[in-house]
This record gives sequence, C-alpha cells and structure tokens, in this order.
Amino acid sequence: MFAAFCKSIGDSLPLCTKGIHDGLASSSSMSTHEPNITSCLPTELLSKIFHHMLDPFDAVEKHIYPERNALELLRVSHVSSYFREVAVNDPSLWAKAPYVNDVHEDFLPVILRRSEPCAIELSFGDYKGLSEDAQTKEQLVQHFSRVSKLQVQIGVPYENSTLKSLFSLPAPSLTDCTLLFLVHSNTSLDSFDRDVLRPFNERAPLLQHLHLINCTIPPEYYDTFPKLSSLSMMQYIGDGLLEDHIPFMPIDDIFKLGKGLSSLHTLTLIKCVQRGGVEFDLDVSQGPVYLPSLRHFHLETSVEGCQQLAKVLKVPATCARELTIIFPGHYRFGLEAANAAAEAVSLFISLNVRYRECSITVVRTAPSLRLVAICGSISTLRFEVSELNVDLPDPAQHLGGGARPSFLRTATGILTPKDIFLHQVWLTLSTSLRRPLSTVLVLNLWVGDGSPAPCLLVELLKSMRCLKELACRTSNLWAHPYIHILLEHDTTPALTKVKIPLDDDVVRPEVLLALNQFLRSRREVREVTFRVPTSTLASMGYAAPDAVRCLIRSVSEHFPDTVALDWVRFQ
Amino acid sequence: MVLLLTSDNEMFSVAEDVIKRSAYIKNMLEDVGESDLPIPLPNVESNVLVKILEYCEHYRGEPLPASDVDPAEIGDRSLDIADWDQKYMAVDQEMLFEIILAANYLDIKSLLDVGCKTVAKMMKGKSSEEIRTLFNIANDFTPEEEAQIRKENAWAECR
Repeated sequence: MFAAFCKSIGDSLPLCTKGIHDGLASSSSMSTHEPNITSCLPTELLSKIFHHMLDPFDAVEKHIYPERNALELLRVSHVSSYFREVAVNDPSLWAKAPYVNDVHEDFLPVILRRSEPCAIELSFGDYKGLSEDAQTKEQLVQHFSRVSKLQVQIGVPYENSTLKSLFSLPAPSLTDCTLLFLVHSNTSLDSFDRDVLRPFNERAPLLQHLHLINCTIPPEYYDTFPKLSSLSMMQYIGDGLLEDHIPFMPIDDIFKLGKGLSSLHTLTLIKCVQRGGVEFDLDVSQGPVYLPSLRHFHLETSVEGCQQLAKVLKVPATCARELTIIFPGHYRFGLEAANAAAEAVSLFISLNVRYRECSITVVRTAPSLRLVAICGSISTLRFEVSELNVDLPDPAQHLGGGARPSFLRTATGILTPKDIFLHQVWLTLSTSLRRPLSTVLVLNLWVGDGSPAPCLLVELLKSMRCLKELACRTSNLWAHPYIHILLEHDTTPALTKVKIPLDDDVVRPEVLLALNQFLRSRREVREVTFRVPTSTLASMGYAAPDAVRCLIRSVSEHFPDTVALDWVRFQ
Repeated sequence: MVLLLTSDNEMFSVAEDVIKRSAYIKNMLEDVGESDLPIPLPNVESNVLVKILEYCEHYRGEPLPASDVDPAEIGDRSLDIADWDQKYMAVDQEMLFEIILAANYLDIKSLLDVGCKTVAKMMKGKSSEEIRTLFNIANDFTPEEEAQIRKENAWAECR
C-alpha cells in the first residue's frame, strides 16, 4: 500500500518537481561535462534566483533609487537563450525594475511592457528635465494605476512637475508611498504648486504605508486612506541642505487626523511637530485622540513638543513606544529643562502596567532607559544630548549643597555640566516613574567607558525596590570606581542574582577583586550567571562547553561557596 | 526514526524531528502514518542527502517557516546569509545546484532560499560574459537575438 502511495505521489508531482526530473535527467546526461546551471535548474528556480539579485525596494535609504535592478535584469537576459527566456517572461521581475531618470527612451516602455500585468514599483527623482520629457511622463501616467510602491524625491517644487501629475491621479494599486522634498522643509502637498490638489484624487484604497519627508498631507485627506497602517512624517536634514530646522506639522492637526488614523499600527513623528498656540489649549479641552490599533509609536521632538503631544495623543497600553527628546545646540538648557524633559517623556509611560525588565544605557550621545512590560510591550526613553548646551554657571553649587548625596559631592571634580544635567534627568525620572520602576525585577546596565554614570543613577535604582537581578553588558563595569555605590544594600536591597559577560575583561585582577568583594559583602546574592556570546562559543568549536566551564572555574575560584554558578548563551 | 532510500539505493535512518524540516516528508508521514517501509527519494543521491541532513540537523528544534509565500516575492530580497549557512554553502557548483534541486524536491523552503541567495550573490553585479564564464554557459543566441541584444546593450550604456 505504501509503495502504491509512493507511486501515486510520484504521479502527482507538481509541475515544478517534474521540471527537476527534466533538469536531473539532462544533468545526468551531461555527467562527463562540467555542471551547467542552464541545464540544471528549472525555470521557476532560475527565476527565484533572479528575484534575489534585485535590490529590495527599501533596502537603502528611501531617497536612493534601486536603478540597478533594471540593469541587472538586462545583464542576465543577455547570458543565454534560456536565461533570456526566463527573465523576459517573468513580469514580476520587471515589475521591480522601473526607474525613470536618465533611462534610454526605448528602455522604459520595454520595462513597463514586460512587467504587465503585475503591480509595479516605481522610483524616480522629480527634476525639471523629467517633466519636459513628455513621452516618459505620459507613460508614467498611463501605467500609474499599476503602481504599488512609489518613491519620489523632489528638489524644489516646480510648475507641471511629474509628481504633481501623478499625485492628482487615482492610485488603486498603491500600497507604499514615500515622498521626499529635499530643499523645502514644510511643503503641504495639497498646495505645493499653487493649485490645490486632492491626494490621489482621494482614491488610494489600498495605501498602507505613507512616508512623508519634509512634507505633509493635510489631515482632512487621511479619511481617503482607509487601509493606512503606517504613517511617518519626518524632517530630513541631510547634507546641510536645510538651514532652518523648522517643524512643519501643526500639532493641532493631530486632532483632525484622529478619525483617519483609527487603523494605524505605526506612527512615526520625527522633528516635525510644530508647537501649538492659544487655540491648542482650546482643542486640548476636547480630550486626547485615541489611536486604538497603534502598536508602535516613535517620536523625536523637543521637550515642549513632547509635553503637548502627551496631551493630544492617547496610545494603548500594549503599544511599544520610542521617545527621544532633542536638545538643539543653539539653545542653552538649565536644570529645569532636565526636569521638564524627564516629566514629558514620563507622560507616555503607562503607570498602571507592571514592568519586568529595565535597561539603562549611559553613552555620551543619547542615554536611554527602556522598560519591558509583563505583557511584552517596550517603552524606550532617550535623551539626545550630543548637542546639549548646558547653562550651569556654577556646577559646584549644584553638587555641594547639603541636600545632595555625599557621592555627588565627592565626584565634584569629575562631573561635567552635562553629567549634572543628566543626573537631574535620572533623578526626576526616579520620581515621575516611581510606580512603574517599583515593579522592575531585572536591570540591564550598560555604561560607556569613562562615564561617571553609577554616581548619577543611584536614586533611579533605589526606585526599583523589587530589583532581583542585575546584568551588565561588559564585565569591566565591575572595575568601575563608583560601581560599589549602586551595589550597596541600601540601593539595591532585593538583589539576589547577577549576570556577567564571560568576556576578555572578566579575568582582569581588578574585575575579579571587585566581584569577590561584592559577593562576600552581599551574601544574599546567591546566583551568578555568566553570559557567553554566541560568537565566543562558535570560536571555541566542539569543545566549547568544556572550555566555558573551565574558564568559569578559574574566574569563580574565590567566590563564596554559597554562590550557585551557571552560564547561558548570549547573542 | 524515518527510513529514506536514495536514488543510489542507500538507506538512511533519520530522526523524525530532523527530517520534518522537509514539508514533503512531513506531509507524507502525516498522510501515511507510521511505516517500516523506507521513503524512496528517486531524485536525491546519498552524498546530497548527507548534506541535506547536515542542514536539517543544524536547525533541529528551530521553528519551521509558517508561510508558504516566497519571501523574494513579497519584498524580502535581502541577500544576507547567516554565517553558518554561508559556510554550509561553500561547496562546488555541482553540489550547490544539487542541494538547491533537492531542497526544492523535499520542499525545505529555508534551504532553498539560502541556495538561491548563494547563486544570486555569485551573479549579482557581474556582466553577462562573466556569468557565462562563472557557470560554464554557452552563448547560444541566434543571430537575430544577438542583434536585439546589441540594441539593448545601448540602453545600459546610455546612463
């Protein structure tokens, strides 16, 4: 019966498998020759290989074109008659090839014809020369109803631009759209050429992903994108092209956007929110806009922008959020700004959610705090301080005051104004996030080389009163001159477990000394787990487990007997 | 254990959770149930099956791909290949194509994907002549096709 089944399976092999039979047959008939890809691979596999040769639509930055795809297809179609047959007769390959700029006048129609009837990915830079090419423009208009992905870069808006022609057409197949204005930083797309346009003639029923860079679509049109799941608006300041950093989306627009964004999963707002004026306070009285489907919220803005958006937007508790406060270098910020920044980002943290894990990264450019909720949602608070200009005339006054902890006073000579500013940020967070922090069980800590961070984080760690486990990213943190401040019983009273990377630094005498001292002074810490990077394990080969155990025995030679040892693989 | 019989009549006894990475075998086992009879693999030679089983063993326990959709079709056309997969695919061309064919026959999507990516990487950015040399492919165009190709070459030179 089984044999009969096998025969029936063989008889009912799909076409592609029969193709393999043919391929294998021809392969075996050529056994005395070198293997030949032409005779080996059936059509559908060769086609699959060609697909892999094409650049993804969004593999590179949105404003760089994947023009190589067309040339790649041209090359493979010139290899042999079999290659040509496969390449030319697969429309889905050519659908990923359309590019417009500088293309030979005979090539674009061929690309478009070969891509029929598939939905196409269209990418071009909209410069004056393009709109003067009437034939090209006509072809784009003619095929626009098939465009599923559109990527346009435009320098200066100009009369009769190609984008304007396309932007006024219905886009029944469009799912992804990226529009980048290079020079103008606040172009409203319904009026960028004096005439009022209705985006896609209010017909883009499949549009899911909309990325607007240095431009906006007025909020009243979002109702015409019923499938919109991802929206990003950002100010792109590249190559010094934009001299003025002007946020361009009035915050009041969020109120008008509300209904149109009800199915939104991802919202990204980067340096685009314009502060509200008097009318904003009136709008706020209506209550915030709730985005029930939102899963990812990414915001990068000023302190004031964050404060105002917190009043405007309400996101579900399960939504992951990434908030970055920027401190532009042309302003000077005092400690009150540090308080305001910490309080502003805290407004986006759900206070009634339980968090299991916290990660603190203290690096010079953008220190951050990340909370992982029991339900799995992640909240990241980041402070972009690379340009921060601190207005602190007398730093010693802020360190030496009677109310200041002694460890700060002892570090007076080390702490910079930026450190003092960041201390104020962490201090305020420890208050404004006291409730969420009190539920944290695990802390991942990464401190950049030479950072006095342990001095700055004491109050924050004290707020994590249930903290049981501390994991550090590098073992040399244990040799940090101020680490003992964080590891004192008063700061982390519930600590019972530490995780240490089994890296090169772990065998340094000062690291081992600090570890031994800590474990002997904190007898309640009974578990040490070594994290072994996967790359280390790979380099050790088959004997890795034995080598790891041997190294751990050496490192833990003087640990108290009460400490249980373990190791885990770590990416 | 599952018994597999290759085209050169070699028998392999393989753990079920290893070979179930092959959707073809998995479906067959689900349809037929337990059997002492070997599953014939008339399109796979023993040296290729050894290589295939090395892959399945390495990814033993890892979740099987959920979707039937070809990642290349839906836009995932990244040519990134994991380190281990790159080393695994460092074989001669004959074996590379045999692996691809066997992965297709046995319906091991992830392996088929890695194989196709490996070949795509070898071809990407190369001229038509370089691809011919790389894979020992004869230029078999007719004079008419040659004329058309010469014309098309001008399109590329236009840039």
